[in-house]
Amino acid sequence: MFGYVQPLKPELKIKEYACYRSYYCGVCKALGRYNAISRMTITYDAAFLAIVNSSVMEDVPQVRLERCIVNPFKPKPVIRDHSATDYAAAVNALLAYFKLIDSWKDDRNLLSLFGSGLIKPVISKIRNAYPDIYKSIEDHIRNLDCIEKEGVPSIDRASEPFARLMSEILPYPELDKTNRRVLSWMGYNLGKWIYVIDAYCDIDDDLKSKSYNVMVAKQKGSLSAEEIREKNRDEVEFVLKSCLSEIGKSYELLDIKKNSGLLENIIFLGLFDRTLKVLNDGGEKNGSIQGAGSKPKCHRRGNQGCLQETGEEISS
Amino acid sequence: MKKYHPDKFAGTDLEEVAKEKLQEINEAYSMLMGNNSSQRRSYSNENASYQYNSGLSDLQKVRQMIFAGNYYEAEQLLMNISIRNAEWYFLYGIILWQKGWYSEARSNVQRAVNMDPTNAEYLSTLNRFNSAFNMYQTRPVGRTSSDDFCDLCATLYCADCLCECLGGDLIRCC
Repeated sequence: MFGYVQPLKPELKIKEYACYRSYYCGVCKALGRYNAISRMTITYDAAFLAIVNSSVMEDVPQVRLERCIVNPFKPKPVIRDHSATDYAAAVNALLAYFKLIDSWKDDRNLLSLFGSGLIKPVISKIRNAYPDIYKSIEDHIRNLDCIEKEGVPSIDRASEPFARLMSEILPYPELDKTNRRVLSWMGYNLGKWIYVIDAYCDIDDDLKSKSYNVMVAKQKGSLSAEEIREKNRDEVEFVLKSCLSEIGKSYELLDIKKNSGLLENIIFLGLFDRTLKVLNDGGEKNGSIQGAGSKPKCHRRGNQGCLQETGEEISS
Repeated sequence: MKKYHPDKFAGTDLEEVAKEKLQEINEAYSMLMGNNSSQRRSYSNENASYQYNSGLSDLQKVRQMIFAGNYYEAEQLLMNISIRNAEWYFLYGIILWQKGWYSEARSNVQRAVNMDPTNAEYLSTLNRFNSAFNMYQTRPVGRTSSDDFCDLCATLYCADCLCECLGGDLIRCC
């Protein structure tokens, strides 16, 4: 995951922000139970995963005031021992692991190999706890590889594996059937949205490094990044907005028990704001979107959020 | 009722969930009303038990399958049809939309419209795809929760003022 799913901070109520932080810290602490290194991989998307699953559960999460390395003096509210945060932490670690492996295979990046080696002991534990999730992530990442090797020139086809991946990991496996079904459709559209936004932002980088990008593959002849963005803009806008519309509809059908204000902020304001920024700035290196946001960099971004007390990263 | 209206969720996987929710509401409603009014016209899943008519052309069969929700079967059959006319592209567009392949869905329906510009159904579907986003954008955020105690106080206060305007009084002390 890439850290694109965030609330629109200026529109958050203070209590909603506190709630958001407590889920975020909850996922981080849950990762810490595996090992300290895997906490470095936390992303904002994982916080969303925890919030949305927790929101359809009946139970009230236990909030405790705890200190951590980042906030050694002032205790912060943290959600502990909650199935949704535990699940989000597991998914977060799995995705980080597969991404590091992928980066090692593609770019022979030694740092990625080192990183994946550090997380590896954790992965077998998670694999035992959520075997189906492990399997589906592994399968879809493999499909993603095939798409890259094939050089697929269609946005819909290229985004399919990641959309499928998200549709399978967004619903917590023990939810009831209806919520799982709705969340799976929400996940599909969220995955597609993330993939397309990421590809659109990465046009410059991928062009330089000559790596696969569906937006580049679609265009014949050699064009500049600016031209490619311009040519793809309408289609990208249509796809992103269609995804947002379906995510919104899915939200309406969820059986929300809590956190509705926070979720509405993320779904109807945060995602929309991000979409407009990317479409207007084309992923330039200003604002909260970093055009150079290569995958490992996105991780670091998520991690920085954890290191900051007030999470200024969320502000956009 | 409006929230779960199937038209709003038409054409995707959510349609069936919305129908189930509506069904529940309908049942709860008839139970509350204490009469067996389940015969009332409800948005039920009328298409589920669709019988395929053997006298139909393949394209007509695909259309029926789509309306019965058998998108997978419909796609299989559609792929075996070699005549690619406007109807073919239109139906393929509908199937693609249901899969979440929005861009290709739109270009297929666009193609159908180009081939047969007079067909109102093709045109309205294309418009539906293009305006799918409007609902998301017009949704009021943060104003949907009604669990606010202040609302109750404010409503009572307004009611009192209105009563006083008309010479009466709702709350004696103020």
